[in-house]
Amino acid sequence: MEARQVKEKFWFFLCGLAMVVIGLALGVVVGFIALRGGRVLSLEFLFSFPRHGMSEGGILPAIVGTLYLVLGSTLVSLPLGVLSAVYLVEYAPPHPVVQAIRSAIHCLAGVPSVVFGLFGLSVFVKLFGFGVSIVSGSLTLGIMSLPVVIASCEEALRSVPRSFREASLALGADRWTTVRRVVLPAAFPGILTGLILAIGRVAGETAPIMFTAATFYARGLPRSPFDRVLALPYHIYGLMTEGTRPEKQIPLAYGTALVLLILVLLVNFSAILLRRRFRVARKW
Amino acid sequence: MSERRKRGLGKKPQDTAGLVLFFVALSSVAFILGIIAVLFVEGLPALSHVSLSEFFLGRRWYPVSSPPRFGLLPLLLGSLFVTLGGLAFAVPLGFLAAVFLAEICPRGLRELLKPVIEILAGIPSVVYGFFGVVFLAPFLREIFTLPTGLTALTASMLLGLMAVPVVVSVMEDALTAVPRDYREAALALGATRWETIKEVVVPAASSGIGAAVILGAGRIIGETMTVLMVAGGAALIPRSFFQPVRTMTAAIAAEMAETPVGSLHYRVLFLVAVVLFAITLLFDLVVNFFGRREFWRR
Amino acid sequence: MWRGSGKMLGEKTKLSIRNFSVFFGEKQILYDVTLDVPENRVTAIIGPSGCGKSTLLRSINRMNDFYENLKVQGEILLDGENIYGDSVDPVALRRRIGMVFQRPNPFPKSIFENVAYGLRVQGWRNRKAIQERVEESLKAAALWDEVKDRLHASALELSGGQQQRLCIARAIAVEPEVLLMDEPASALDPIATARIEELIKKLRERYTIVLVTHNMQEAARVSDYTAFLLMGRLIEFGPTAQIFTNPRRKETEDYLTGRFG
Repeated sequence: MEARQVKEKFWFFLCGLAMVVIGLALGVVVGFIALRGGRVLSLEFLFSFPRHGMSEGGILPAIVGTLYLVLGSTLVSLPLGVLSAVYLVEYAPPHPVVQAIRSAIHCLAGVPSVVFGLFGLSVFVKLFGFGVSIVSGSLTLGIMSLPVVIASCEEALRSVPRSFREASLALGADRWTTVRRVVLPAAFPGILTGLILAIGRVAGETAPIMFTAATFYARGLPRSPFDRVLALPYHIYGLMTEGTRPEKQIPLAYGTALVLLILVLLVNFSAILLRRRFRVARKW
Repeated sequence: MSERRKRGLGKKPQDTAGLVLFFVALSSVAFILGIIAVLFVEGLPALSHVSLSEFFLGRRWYPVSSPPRFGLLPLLLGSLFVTLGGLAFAVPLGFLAAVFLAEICPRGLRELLKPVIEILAGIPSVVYGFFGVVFLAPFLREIFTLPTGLTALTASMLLGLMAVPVVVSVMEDALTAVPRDYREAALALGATRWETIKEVVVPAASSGIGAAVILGAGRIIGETMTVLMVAGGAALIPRSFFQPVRTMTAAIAAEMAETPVGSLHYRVLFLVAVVLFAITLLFDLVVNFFGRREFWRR
Repeated sequence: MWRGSGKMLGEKTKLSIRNFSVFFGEKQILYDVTLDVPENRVTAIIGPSGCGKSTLLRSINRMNDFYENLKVQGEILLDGENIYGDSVDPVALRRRIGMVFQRPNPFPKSIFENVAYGLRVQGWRNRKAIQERVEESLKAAALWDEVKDRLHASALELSGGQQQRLCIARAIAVEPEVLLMDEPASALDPIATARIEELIKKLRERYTIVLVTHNMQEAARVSDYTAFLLMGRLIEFGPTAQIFTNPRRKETEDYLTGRFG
């Protein structure tokens, strides 16, 4: 065999090896948590309250808290995101202000999550007086996920053929009617995909809710939007760093980590599945 | 018929919907300006107690001693250490894997691997941090016989792994975007496939590859939970990867909870956030320089 | 210079295009076109590709408004009123001037909803009235018999020719006065094309039709008047029979005999 071919074989092998290493590493992370967490996981774990200063019992309040935060942040990011994307795709004239909007979205996407946490603390918790609460956390998470929602909505809207818009406009529909009755329905699956991806990200975030919404100790479920909540990601952190009986808390942390992992991976998986279905199903 | 004729051409209406949408779209601008304003308003008052040179050049970060010392260098270097360390894992691995995906592996396998990587990109950072504490740190302590496993190295490995999906998918995009003709031209000249990749494809994709590196760096330096849990948290100027470090993000996350709102310490932490924000903004500009494709969407 | 314009004898003018020019950025696409489109007739606009015929057509219902760099000069009068006047609402204009596009473009909705779309947009709420109008329009578009049993099936399941007839039904459901057709048969097979042409001839009774086509035979078969456009200029306009048998201008003759284009 020629030296050149040996070289090629070597590098190709190395590339494949890198892929294997990555797969193995991610596999170890997921597998280890699945294995250890699996021992703790039970219906009782999912559906009961923590006991004995968080060192025993289940994680129901954390699951519920995360659901509240996801729901709350969606209420913020969905309308703002979809309407912003509609403006950018369907209306935006080539104007400096529109450029500024695009740059702002870019910037927002690059802001570290802990900085969002500080922003939420300063504005929602302190300035607006919402306190450490579901509302403050939802607003913070909603703003954080806004760029993701806008980006996927834009993509979904752009995938709607121009001819649909022209047909509608030629029938005497104005722009807004065209968007509402033709473009948005056609883009709906794409928008849904983006929303689900955003949910996956929001559910796993810890830093933005540390100072705005989350608590480690709670007796029951939150009773008002202005209550602080347990949340799955923060609960893992809390179990590892707070409390009095670490040896009892670590197994709980395994279980919580597994629940969070399953939740997030399932959400991402369904988003990708939906996207694929949508691409196959559409005929235009 | 005659009734139809009476329709006029109407009066031009106001485009209310367009106006409303415009203001909604402005919200992003408001948010980013709001973030900048908050960081400065909360952080700047600290400068009346801590001088700029003390803040940027101070080598001691003792926020709770009296008098407190607020030298940024340990935190800045801590962030730098784990970022470089993370890239040292993510870039070579990610690059080789991207080449594998884009150029070598059969189509079917690629269609399977890409979504898997995409799904795994969603593993929350707190889960990596937890995994680091219970598995990787003890493991590395054994191997290298260290006093503690919570070191810059541990954090770097996890952060690298965390950044791999972004790096791979952006690089893979850049490689597949290289026109087929380039490849065929090189192959027709008798180059082997690897030579074609090395001499033609990779140089043609270099700006995308550069963007992927910066993007990975941006993700790592802004990462909080993993470093908070596994980097060990010592706010000392790091000298080796086997030492514990404290990053800017970890300092903010860990100390903000324990400091009274409005105190000097609280304000200095916002100042740290200003620096962090400025660095990520710089990365963003560099990515734009590499060509404004929507890399950050991932 | 003879400008290829003028009113056709004995015809009532529906649309009057007056010294109309279009610029796209620096580039001029139409040069000073003047042309009277007679009511209840089929007027064909022919010419080689890139001659500006689609641009002219899309200027008539102001579909060109959506291109940022496009500027127009001159006037187009609909029943004597300038559609580029300051106070004109393009949306109201498009309710009076329907359009059928080059490629069939039904919405991803049911057959029924496609035809009902324009009505709903105009605020129709009465279900019975909508149903009646949808049926009438589908009949007028010679599609009713083929789809009456599956009105709620997706429009995307129809064949290309059926889709185009659906688009015609959709356009006429709102009872426009003028129907613009941008090469409506170019994406269809010969049999579907024949059906569309048949339909166009019938629709003339109720609508003023402007038809853009690159297919000269098609223009000859279905139109009453023909305008020949070359490089953005109107070269000749007259009764179709005269244009095809006895063109006055050399360019027209060259084009018709296939010497260029």
